[in-house]
Amino acid sequence: MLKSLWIGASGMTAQQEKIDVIANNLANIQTTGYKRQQASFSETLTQALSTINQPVMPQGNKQITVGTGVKVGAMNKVFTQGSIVSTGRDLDLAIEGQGFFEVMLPDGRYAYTRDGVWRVGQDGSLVNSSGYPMSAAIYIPPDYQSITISPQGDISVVQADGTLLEAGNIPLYRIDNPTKLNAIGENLYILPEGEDLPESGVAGVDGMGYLKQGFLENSNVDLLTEMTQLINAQRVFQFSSRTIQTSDEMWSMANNLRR
Amino acid sequence: MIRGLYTAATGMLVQEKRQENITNNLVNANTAGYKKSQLAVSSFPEVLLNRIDAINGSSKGVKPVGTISNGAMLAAQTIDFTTGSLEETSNPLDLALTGQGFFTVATPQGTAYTRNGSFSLDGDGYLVDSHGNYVLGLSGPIYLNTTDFTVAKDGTVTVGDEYVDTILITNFNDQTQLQAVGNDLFTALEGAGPRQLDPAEVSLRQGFLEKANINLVEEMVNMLTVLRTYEANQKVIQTQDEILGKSVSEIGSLR
Repeated sequence: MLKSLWIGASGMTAQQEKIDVIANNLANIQTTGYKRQQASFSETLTQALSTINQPVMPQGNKQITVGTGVKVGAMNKVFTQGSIVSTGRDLDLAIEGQGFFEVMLPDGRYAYTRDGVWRVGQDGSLVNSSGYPMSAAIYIPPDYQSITISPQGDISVVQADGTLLEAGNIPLYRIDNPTKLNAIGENLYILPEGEDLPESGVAGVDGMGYLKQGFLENSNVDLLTEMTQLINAQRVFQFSSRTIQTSDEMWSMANNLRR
Repeated sequence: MIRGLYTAATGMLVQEKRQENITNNLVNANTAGYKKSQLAVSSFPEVLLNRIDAINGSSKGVKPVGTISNGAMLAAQTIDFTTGSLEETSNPLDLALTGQGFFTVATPQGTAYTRNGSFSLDGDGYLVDSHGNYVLGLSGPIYLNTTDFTVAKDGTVTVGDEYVDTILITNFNDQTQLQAVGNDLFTALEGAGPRQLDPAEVSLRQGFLEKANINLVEEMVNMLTVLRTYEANQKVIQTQDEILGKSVSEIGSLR
């Protein structure tokens, strides 16, 4: 009796975790550059019945096994392209294709992001929405008139006095195996200790994605998929709780064998 | 009397195991590639009953009366390998087999097989399943180190234009000889006859997962059957208990 209770409980716990993941995806559906998380399930170990003194007919070399439930096997982030939406702001950049922006954290580490909302700081560097500067050394005079960024990342600034300034190139960084990235919040990802840092690349070159000025990359969360999975998880949660109720009834029958 | 108690108890034990099996099927309703397991119940082998008989006045003599079975036990486990329906996830690391065959993985205990195509990349960039076992291609573990790869319908893995490997899909001559070992894995017993499935017969979809092949309604009905059978067995034990009680306390009592 105890075992089927725990199997049912494992079902409820696993579905609960999946619902948590779905809730997080839905909460971040409008977050720039957010990449959805996917929870996948896997069976737990099985137990051969003849080894625990259960009445089984000898099977030869094949064992009758009963499973012990389910668990969340992996919670991976899926790095597919999000949809690109137009904002018209001159320092909003969307990456269409592969690549990440690199920013420098206050503690000296490098972080990577797809969030392209930039502004020009007091010292002329490009700063993202959380206040972290882009790691590349780019100077833009804070009192500029207008700014144009080409799909390859070349910055052309029309300064306050009307002259043109070529301010450099915005590098993109290519991370081949993005499943290694750890999300640290604020739309930032870091590579674990000991991993080689990626080399900088130019947008549009060697398979790197293009930059689009005036656009932002929305999340890659698909509302319909998430809702369907939510309904699914809810139903299995319900069935798991039903199995716990039935096992409880059976156990109570065993307890009432002798009044 | 006592024999009757144990016979009914085996009935309850067997139903408990069936309940565990049904519960396991139900909680794995969302596990990719899960194959439902069914337990078959049969009666114990029959034993001969003898009646001690008085022949010609003497008190010796044994006369066979007939056979009786002493309860129920689990006879066999059938794993239903019907293909489940597909679910689109758009995750390039999710693969689904829409036809026959199994993915082949290398575990520390040897080669195992699975239908759960929810894969990821490990720290070194190799394709692994959700337990960290290498997914095998024709030339061994598959080194990718990128999520930007394509898997064709016949299992060919390419990164850009470069061919990497072909995923090894194993088919069996006798699927009943597969042993379920948990963690979504099966091992091949003698007589299973594993052989590589010809790439022309392989049918893989990237970005999809195979759903569990359980039928929720069927499992719920099975669970109801188990519950009521358990209840009936409980009644048998209680009745046996009452009869025993009468024979102990009332037969031969002086009043």
